[in-house]
Amino acid sequence: MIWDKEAFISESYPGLDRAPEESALRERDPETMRCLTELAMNEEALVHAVGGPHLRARRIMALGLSPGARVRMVRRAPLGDPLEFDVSGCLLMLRCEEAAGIVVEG
Amino acid sequence: MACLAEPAVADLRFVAVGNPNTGKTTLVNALSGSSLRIGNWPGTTVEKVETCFPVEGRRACLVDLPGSYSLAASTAEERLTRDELLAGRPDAVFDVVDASNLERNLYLTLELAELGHPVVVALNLLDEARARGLELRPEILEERLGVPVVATVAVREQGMEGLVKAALRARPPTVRLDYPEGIESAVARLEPLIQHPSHRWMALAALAGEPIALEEPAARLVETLKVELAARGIDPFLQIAGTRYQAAREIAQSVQASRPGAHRLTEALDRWFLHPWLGIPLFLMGMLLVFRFTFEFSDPWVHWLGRVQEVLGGWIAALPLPGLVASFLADGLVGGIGTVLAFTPVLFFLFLALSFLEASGFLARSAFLVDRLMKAMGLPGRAFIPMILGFGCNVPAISATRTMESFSDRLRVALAVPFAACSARLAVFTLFTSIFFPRQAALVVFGLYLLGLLVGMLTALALGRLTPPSEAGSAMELPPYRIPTWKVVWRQASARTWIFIEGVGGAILVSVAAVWVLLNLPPGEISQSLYARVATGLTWALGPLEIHDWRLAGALVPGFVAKEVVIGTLGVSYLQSDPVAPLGLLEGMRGIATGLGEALWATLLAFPSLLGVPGLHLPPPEAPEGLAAALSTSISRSGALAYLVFVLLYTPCVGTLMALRLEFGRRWATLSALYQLVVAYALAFLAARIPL
Repeated sequence: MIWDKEAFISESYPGLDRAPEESALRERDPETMRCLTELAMNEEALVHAVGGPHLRARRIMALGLSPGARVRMVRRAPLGDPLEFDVSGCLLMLRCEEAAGIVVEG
Repeated sequence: MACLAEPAVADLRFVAVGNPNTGKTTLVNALSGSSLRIGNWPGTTVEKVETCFPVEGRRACLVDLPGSYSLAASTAEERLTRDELLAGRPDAVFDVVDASNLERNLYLTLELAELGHPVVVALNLLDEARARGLELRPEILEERLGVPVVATVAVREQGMEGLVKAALRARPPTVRLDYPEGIESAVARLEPLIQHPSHRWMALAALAGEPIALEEPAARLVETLKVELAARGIDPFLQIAGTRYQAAREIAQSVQASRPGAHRLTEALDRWFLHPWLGIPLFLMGMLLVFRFTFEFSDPWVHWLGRVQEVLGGWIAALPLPGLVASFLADGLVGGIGTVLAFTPVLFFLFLALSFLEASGFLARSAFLVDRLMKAMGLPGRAFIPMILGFGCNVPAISATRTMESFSDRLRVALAVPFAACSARLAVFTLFTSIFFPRQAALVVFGLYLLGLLVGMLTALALGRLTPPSEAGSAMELPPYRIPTWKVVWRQASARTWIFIEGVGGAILVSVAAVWVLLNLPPGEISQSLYARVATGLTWALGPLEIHDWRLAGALVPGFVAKEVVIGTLGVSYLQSDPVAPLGLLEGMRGIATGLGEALWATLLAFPSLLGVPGLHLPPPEAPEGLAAALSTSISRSGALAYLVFVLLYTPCVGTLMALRLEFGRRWATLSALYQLVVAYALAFLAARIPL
């Protein structure tokens, strides 16, 4: 399995209010894992885990940003937020707070 | 007995689904030829299109559903798609797949496979994929999924015949996903309890936490299973979604002989339109262009329709009818139709611009650019366009909220929009400021605009505090730029305009007729009419706003129908109007014809004016002679300011109200009207206290 099980164990299902991004970040090796917002311009990485509230995570994954996908930072909006990403040839926009919940490696 | 003559063979039922921006609508148009029929399903506020065409001697009806990334519905449109697929048993589902984006598109395909409907895959936008250096092997996709796969280029109507033929041999996909053991065993226990043809998909959705209504034993079992899975440390949603994504990615990679390169046009255009410094100025110029396009192009047609209305009134006056009947026909009926028609050119040109922006990919870019500003109000970036449009006309602005995804966000914007000072209110502002504040006219008008903007923004902000923020977040796709075909844009614009006329025309007619009754019954002096009595009653309520003259108070009542009417009514009640002059048949025809020519000419002239430098010019007040003098003695300056604030903030017009009803239902429309009245009264009360 490519996607990560342990990072997403939540005490209360369906967990609309959980914030796995924090636990996912804390438990990970800071050498290899980063959040999506930490990518440099044009840098590419592999999505490791998608966190955040359930509905939001579902939407982000539906857009193609699912664990195992390759993602590249394209640009920042003129006002600083949101960010634009390239996910296997498809352009997505995410607010910084949403991107902060996504853990990438590589 | 006509029903017996119907053919015995039942109609074929097709459904088209696919991710947004896959060219699904284009494909449906290409399949159906020109017989497109648009239906608006009331209450749902999203459009479902149905079209019928002949296939091998039978009639096939194709339902075009809103674009969805998955059947896990997070927006109103996605919900409609899911419900339609769960409710009916279509003969074939057309799954429109973007060839250059297989990985994501196949997720939906795999979900469709679990529903168990017969599926045919339209591998669309193949030309775009090739241009990006992507080579595909459709035969492998066909083999992996176990359904017919047809390569199509919908814009050029390529592959349509093959698609319809394939649809006749569509079969349920043979592809079957194996979920991790924990999920599979839970599904195996749940599935037998679900009495629905799509039991496997339903079981998975229920476990993943989708709001699926299940019968009793199954619903209880779902809760038990969820607890059991959680105890084993399994998050069903992530495992189910993860398995599907992995499978979709794996199939996509086996079908693609190479990785897609960048979309050249998109890269080139985004370099300018999303530029760190130039992006925002270019966007603002673009918005201005939309604004000017809508109002410059529609203006000649609004005038022409006004001329037609005058001519019809003149013809009626020329008929040998009793005065009251003629007046009702001319002012009540023709006037009412005129009020409805006056909206249509504005709406049509706006929808034309919006459809173009939507189909080309510009709308998504604008959301990217102003998202940060909208975030401050707790709204997604897409909220910006309806808010700006409100300054031209509130009615299309409310319709434009359709481009947003979350219902609560749409509602908040729609409740804020009516406070934007539309061009109709400007007419009242200019008349009053020219009488009462001749020196500070521009300042007062500017202040009023600002006040409307402020009240609207505070409304959106306050409502955002009351309703929980949209869970789905604001992540969205920035689709590649495409040049939309005129056919698609034109059709969409006319269909949307027609939906509006159908939906609100009746109500506007009734309210215009009601105002006519008030003004004209009992016949005779206006000061003896029902209108005068209602107005005198109103002065009691408006006294605290320093509005004491019944004629001023009364004009607010027809102002509810449309703000333009306020000045006309003031003119009638202060000065008495002359009856409509009768008009000959030929004379009227000539008037309509020359008007049509002038409108066409003015539309042509509007093209260069789009490029001109825009200036904020106050149109000279259009008011009957002598009205200014009469008005200046009937109200104080403080009262006049309060009157202006009231006119700015109370229910803009019956058209806006009807648009709200069409989009959000009667309850929200009524609440919105009441809210506007309360706000208008409160702020006008404060304005009346300003010593001037």
